[in-house]
Amino acid sequence: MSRGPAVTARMSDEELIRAFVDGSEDAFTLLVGKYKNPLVNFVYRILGDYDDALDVVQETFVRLHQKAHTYRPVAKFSTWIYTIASNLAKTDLRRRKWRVPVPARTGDVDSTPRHVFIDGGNRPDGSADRALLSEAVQKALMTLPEQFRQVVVLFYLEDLSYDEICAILRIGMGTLKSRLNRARTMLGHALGPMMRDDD
Amino acid sequence: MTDPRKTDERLKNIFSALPRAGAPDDFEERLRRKLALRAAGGPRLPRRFVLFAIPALSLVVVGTLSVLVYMTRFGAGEDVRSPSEGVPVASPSVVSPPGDSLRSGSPGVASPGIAPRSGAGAGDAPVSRLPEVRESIGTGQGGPGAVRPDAKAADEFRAKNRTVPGVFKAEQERTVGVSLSDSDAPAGSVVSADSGLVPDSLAVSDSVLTDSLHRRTDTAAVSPEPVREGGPPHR
Repeated sequence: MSRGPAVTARMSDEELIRAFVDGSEDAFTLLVGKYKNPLVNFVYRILGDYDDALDVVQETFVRLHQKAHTYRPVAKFSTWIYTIASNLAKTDLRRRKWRVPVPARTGDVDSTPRHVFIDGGNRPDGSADRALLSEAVQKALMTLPEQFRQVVVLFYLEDLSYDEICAILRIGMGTLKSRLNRARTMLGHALGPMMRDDD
Repeated sequence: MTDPRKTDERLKNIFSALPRAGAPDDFEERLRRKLALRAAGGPRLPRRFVLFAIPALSLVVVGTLSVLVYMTRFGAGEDVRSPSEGVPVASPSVVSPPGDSLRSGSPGVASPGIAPRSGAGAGDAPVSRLPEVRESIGTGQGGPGAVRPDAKAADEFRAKNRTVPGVFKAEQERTVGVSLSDSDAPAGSVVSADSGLVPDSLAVSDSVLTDSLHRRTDTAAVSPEPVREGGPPHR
């Protein structure tokens, strides 16, 4: 039996977070269920490492659990939680400079990457091309500087509006457009053969 | 290819064809465990500080041990030597000459038998201005047996007052019992106010004269100011 007000899946994010602040753990569970996949996808594309992405998203929800009372409804809840995830991803990227990579042993059973694609990306039936495409795009993304990578992922992958991206990254519209333009050019060079195929 | 609109369109197609990464099935379970761990764990060291924890703890331990050793060796006070210099602290029997030592702010204590260093004992007093002190200290004669400068100053004061006609001269001669200078009185005779050799205007009682002389002598012995020619110092 959960404490706090009754919640339903049809409630808006802002109502859910208010219910969670009022003591409803069900509201928190609903928010986690709604945002876990988009956040994992977003952070994975920025970090390029699935396990790290899972850690970052878990930490994002832990922060949400601890700091929910600090949320102010001046911005959308989605913007707020994407901002938290983006900041944690940036922190993780900075920390990587000091991290010594541990090479996987060849005899390990679990040495294969355990990506989980929610729309058939890891199914064996004819989706090998998509897996290869995913890998190639991810490689190209990792060649971009961090600030350009974030812009590209939020705009092309998460399909967010200019205003939302500006709010998440806390940058101006001019900065966003400039970064997006430069990122496009860089990505066009990085994905050269793929960009020319259909011409 | 170079057309931005075309590039934008192509990128949109590529990204929409990408499979979307998602959370594993046990994501909620792991999150719940993490939250429970956080709630029960209390304060914990952030991961970025773990690297520095061991060196920092080592420094704290070494510092604490150093302080303990220092306190054990030097904190009891059985040794009067200064631990930094290894020089015994000077006894206050030797007093710096009146004037410079007081003006320079030093405590007026000099280490016996040790040449003065600037900033220690002699303070900032320029040694060249104190020839007699420099000689006595520089040659190692500043020990307890050395001539005290205040005694010297008193002698000087007395010698100067010999030239003062009248009161002091008469008093000194009366006290000592001999004539100290050429006068009308015969040698060896006691001169006093009653003798008629002192003018009436200067005639005062013996007790007042004695007190006055003693007071002035004491003042001269400790006064930092030089004795002025022709009379006692003004105050």
